[in-house]
Parts: sequence; structure tokens; C-alpha cells
Amino acid sequence: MKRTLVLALALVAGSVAQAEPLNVVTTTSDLASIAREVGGDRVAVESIARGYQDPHFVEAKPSFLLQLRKAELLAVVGLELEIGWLPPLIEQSRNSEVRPGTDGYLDLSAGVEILDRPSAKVDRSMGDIHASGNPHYWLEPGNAVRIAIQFRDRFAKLRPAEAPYFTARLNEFKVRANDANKRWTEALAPYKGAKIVTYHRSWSNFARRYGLDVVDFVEPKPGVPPSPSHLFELVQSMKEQKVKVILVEPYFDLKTPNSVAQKTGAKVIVMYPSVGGAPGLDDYFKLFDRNVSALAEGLR
Amino acid sequence: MLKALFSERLMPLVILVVLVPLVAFAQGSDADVASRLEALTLRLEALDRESGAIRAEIDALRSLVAGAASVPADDLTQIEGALPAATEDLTKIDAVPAPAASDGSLAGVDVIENAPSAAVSKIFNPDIAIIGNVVAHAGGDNPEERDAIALQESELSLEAAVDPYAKAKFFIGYSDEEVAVEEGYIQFVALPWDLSAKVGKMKASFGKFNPTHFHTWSTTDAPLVNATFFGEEGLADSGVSVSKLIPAGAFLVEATAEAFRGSVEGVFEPGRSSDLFYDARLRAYRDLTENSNIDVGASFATGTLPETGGSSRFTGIDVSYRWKPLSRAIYRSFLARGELIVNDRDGGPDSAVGYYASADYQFARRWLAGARIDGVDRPDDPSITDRGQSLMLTFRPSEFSLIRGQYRRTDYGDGFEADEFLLQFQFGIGAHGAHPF
Repeated sequence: MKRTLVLALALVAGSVAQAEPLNVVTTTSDLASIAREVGGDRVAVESIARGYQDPHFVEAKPSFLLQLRKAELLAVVGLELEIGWLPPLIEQSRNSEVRPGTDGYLDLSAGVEILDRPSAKVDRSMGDIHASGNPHYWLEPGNAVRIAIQFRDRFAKLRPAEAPYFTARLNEFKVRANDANKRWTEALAPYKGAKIVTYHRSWSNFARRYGLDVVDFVEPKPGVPPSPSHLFELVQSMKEQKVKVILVEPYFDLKTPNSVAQKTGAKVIVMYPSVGGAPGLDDYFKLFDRNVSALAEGLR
Repeated sequence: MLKALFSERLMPLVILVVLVPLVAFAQGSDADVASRLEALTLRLEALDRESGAIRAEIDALRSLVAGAASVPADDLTQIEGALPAATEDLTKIDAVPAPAASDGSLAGVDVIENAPSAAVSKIFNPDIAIIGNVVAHAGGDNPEERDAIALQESELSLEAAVDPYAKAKFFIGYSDEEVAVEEGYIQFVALPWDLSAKVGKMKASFGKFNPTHFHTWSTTDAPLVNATFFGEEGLADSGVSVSKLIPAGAFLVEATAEAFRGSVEGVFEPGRSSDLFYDARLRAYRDLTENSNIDVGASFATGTLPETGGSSRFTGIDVSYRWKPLSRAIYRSFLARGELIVNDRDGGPDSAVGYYASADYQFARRWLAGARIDGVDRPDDPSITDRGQSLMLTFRPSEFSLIRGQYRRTDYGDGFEADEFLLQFQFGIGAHGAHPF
């Protein structure tokens, strides 16, 4: 009832000045999903990367220029996640509206909780390290809300007449995210403190939110493929600590994790870090529903 | 603990509030009472302020405690005080800092203003990268003298925004013998009508290979056709370049027109300063599937010949096919490319024709195998044709280094034959450059 009222109100407010939808391009499908939640039908959102793709290694295909050249807002994950492919795309797009520093460029890492910030000087002997912190921050509902707030603020700035509509949708999203998060927290509550191993360092924010303990990684260092000596140590430490699950992103080969699992008796769980990672994972809620239930199943 | 502190410290205040009026009334004398009342009111106000400060301190402590807990706050709706849609003042949307959670139950949740990283003091320095390139060489019967091992031309790149309208890029090549500006230009990125312009020294947009830098090659060397027609440094000169994006249905078309000073060692040499060299390129790209795409181009360049003063014209076509399965992008990829270039000279004999065709297959996360065939007629005597075949195997320990072996067989048209083995070590430090595409 309350929801319909808010929506009706927003509709009335919005219909006063119905403009062309705001053209939004996001680098990842997760940002796209949250942008749609906030923007509704007043924004047209496209994502460059697909959900089943490693976001570090998207190719700077010229076809993305077609999306970028007409974009009014470019939303990025930041923290150097897109450094290998986004700068040449922005440059070649000839679209000066979406260059860093303009209102058409939104780096969402500016307003979220960032983990794994290196405290000492970093260099590349540490692997493909992100000097400003872990860019996989979207895998935590609190940060999803923070992303949504930033979208609302920017949408409202670019389309002031639609601000009440965006705010109403943001508030609705907060309520839904909050309800969903209670559900996810409940589902994972029995496994609080469970020790897990992940392939890449994608799950720091997720693990903190739900009280999981990431004890090791299949990659010895970010972006560095596992070596035999690291795998040997990994197997030993997993046995000692009785780790029951290995979380693997869908774009990594399962061969290595499977062999580690075999030696340790742990289970390999494919966890999708992004919306659209598999058929049916169409939005942020479905992504979490699936990941949480797969993880709860694996930890049982 | 906090609760106890709260009530303990506030208790005197409560007692005072109750007692003050009683005591005041009991005194009875008018002026005296008035002044004492005033003093007590002031005191009460001071205490009130103090209690506010205590309350704020408690809130801060609470939020610290909440922040230290390993689990973030639970009620997501409180991450920012939900503003009622109807009453929101639109003009204030950005000016008003997000209200703090005042009831204390959900302290510390809001958009987090992340401070810029420590590197902020260097933010106006250009992005700097250095790529080293060491090539070892074995094998012989070779018309040219070659070093057994040498730090070949390496590259220093500097890149930064000039102002809101332009970027600048410098690529400085250095080797044992010389240091030279390979490219150095300003690029205007804020032009209307999908235009982009470059002014300075740059590689001509002729074909696919010529504009690239060595560290993006899948071979240790340039194909015979490029080395013979355009020389060691490639077709590069000072000039102006303008390009335009033209979306055409599923195709993305890019048209480029360039004018250069006209001086490329061994290729073009202006007799007068008005003898410029011109270059034009039309390129069309389209995605075939989300995993594969095709890129075709046609290029034309014309300039003045060094000795005769006549004109020399290059016409080229190129085709590239790429395949990279998105969900396995870090393990598999394939690139096939071919380029054909024809050179016509005023007063010269027949046209000289050159070509290369190459294929590169990534068969594991860090491994790449490739093959190339190439050939070229010598422009001053097109009846002499050099031909080459190469096989490459590349190992990339990380994005920032590679080790490559290349077996190269060359049949030189004047009788020499060469079987060579090249071993390349390449490494980059500094700014993270874009992945080659």
C-alpha cells in the first residue's frame, strides 16, 4: 500500500516534465542493475562488460564506442578495475561529456566501503594489486545501497525535474535491499565464522558482511595463476583449518580448484560475482539469492 | 557500560533541574532572587550544553564500537536518512551533507566519503611507463650484422591531460645508438561532430601494423613489407591528423585524413617545403558475435621520392579477425591478420607488392603461439622479392613481462638465405597501460 502510494506520487511528479530517458553506460552489469533500480524508466542503462566476463580483462572493442559516444553518464567501479580498457574507450569515444572529472563521469568507489587497502607501499611484486583497495566492493548489500544513493544524487543533478522520482525509487530499493539482506543474513547465520578459500580476492566485502573467514586464495597473489608450490601449501593449510568450500568465479578454469578440492575433501562452489553471470541472474537480488543459497548449501 | 556512564554523569543535572526552582522560591528576596535566578538559568543552560556534548560523545563512542564490529550495520534503509520525496528541496540535493543517523541505533552508516589516495600529490605528473626490450640473436648467413644480444630500442612513454580539451602523449625510443622522439603529440578530445585531431609527430594511420608500438606486436620484428617500404621507424612524421567516427548500422566506420611535413628517411623526401606527404585511411569494424569481430581497412599515402623528386604512392588493404570467448577471455584468444601494400613510383619500373599474413593463438592463460608469412618486392627493383616465414612462442609470466622465441627463415631475393633464432625479453614498469587491442 505504502509502496503504491510512493510510486503513484512519483509518477505524478514525473509526468509533469517527461523528458528523454537519461543515457547511462556502466562498465559492469552490477552497476547497471542498481542504476536501473534507481532510474526506472527515466534512464536507459547499458553495461559494457557482461556478467560472465572477468571485469579486469574486457577488450576495448570499437563497438563499445557506439554506446559511449551517446552516453550522458558513464558509471565506473573505479579503483583501477577498468584501467586496462576504459581509458582508450573514453578517449576514442570523442564524447567529452563523460570524461573523468565531469558530471557525466561517476566513480562509485568514492562513496562506498572499501576493504583491503594496502597500508604499506605497493609494487607489482605483489601481483596485479589494486593500490587504492579492493574493487569488488559491490558484493555487499550495504555498498549496493551506497551505490544506489550515489546514482540518485547524480541522476538528480543531471535531471533535476525527476529528482523526486529517483528518490522514491531509491527509498524503495533501500527497503527491498534491507528485507533481502535480512533473508540472506538469516540463511548464512548458521555458518558464521566458517573458513573459506576463494580463487580471486573478489569476496572480501561479502565475507565481512556475513561473517565468513577467508583464510586463503587459490591465486597466490592477485592476478597471478597458482603455482605448484602455492597449491601444495594451500592444500596443507586447508586440511589443517578444515576448510569446507572453495569459491570460484565463473571465468576461472575449474581444473585447479577441483584438484585442490579432491585433495582436501572441500567442495568447489561457483559463485557469480556479477549480475548476468549465468542465465536467470538478471538483477542484484537474484544474483545474491543464488549465491547465498549455493553457499549455504555448500557449507551445510 | 555506556548506559551506566550516561546515567551517572547526567544524574546531578536531573537533580539540579528539580532543585533549582525550589531553592529559588525558598529564598524569597526580590532583586536577589532575580539575579540568582538568572545565574542559575545560565548555569542550567551550561549544564544543558554539557549534557549535549556528553550525548554526542556517547554517540561517537557507540559508532566506534559499531564500526569495529566485523559485521556492518544491519538496517540498510538507514544508510541515509530517507527523505520524504514530496518535501525534498531539489536545489539542496548536492549541497546538504547526508544527515547522520541521530538515534544512535544505526550509527556509522552513510555514503562513505573516501579520501583520495596518497598518490594525490603526484596527480598532475604524467603517467610514466618504460618498456625494455632485449633481443638475443643466433643463426646466420645474414646480409646484416646483428648483435648476439642487445637492449634494442626501448620505449619511455609519458601521458597526461593538458587541459579540459586535450591530452598529450610522448613516446621516446632509446637504444645503444640513439634517443629519438618516436611520437609526441597533442590530441584534441573535445571536438564536436565525433571528430578527434592530433598535432605533432606521430605514426601515420596507414594499415594495421604501422601505427603500433613494438610492445604490442606478437613478433620480435616488423614484417618485411613494413620494414622495406617504410624503414626501421615506420611511416612517422610531424603533421596533423583528423579522424571522424561514423556509426553506420552495425558497423563502426572511422575515417582519417593526415598531412605530414613529408620527410620519412628513405621513403619520402621533400624537394620544397610544400612537398607534404598525405595519408588517408578508412576503416570499418563490426562485431560478428559477442566473441568475434572483424576489422577491415583501406589506406593510401602519397609523398615525394628522395632522389628523383617524383611521387611515390602506397595503397594498402588490411583485414583482421579476432576471436575471444568472453567467459574464457583470460585463457583463449585468436587473431588472424593480413595486410597487402602496393607501392607505385613515378618513373619507376613495375609496382612493388608486399604482404604479410599472421595468426596468433592463445592456448593457455600465459601462452601464445603464432605463425607469420611475409614477402616484399624491393621498391627500386621489384623483380627481386624477399620472403620470410616465422614461428613464434610467447610466454607471459604476467601482464608486465614476456619471453618470446621466434624462429625466422628468410629467403632474400638476391640469393642469401637466413635461418635465425630470436629470443626476446620484454618488460614494462610504471603506469598500467591499456591492454593492446
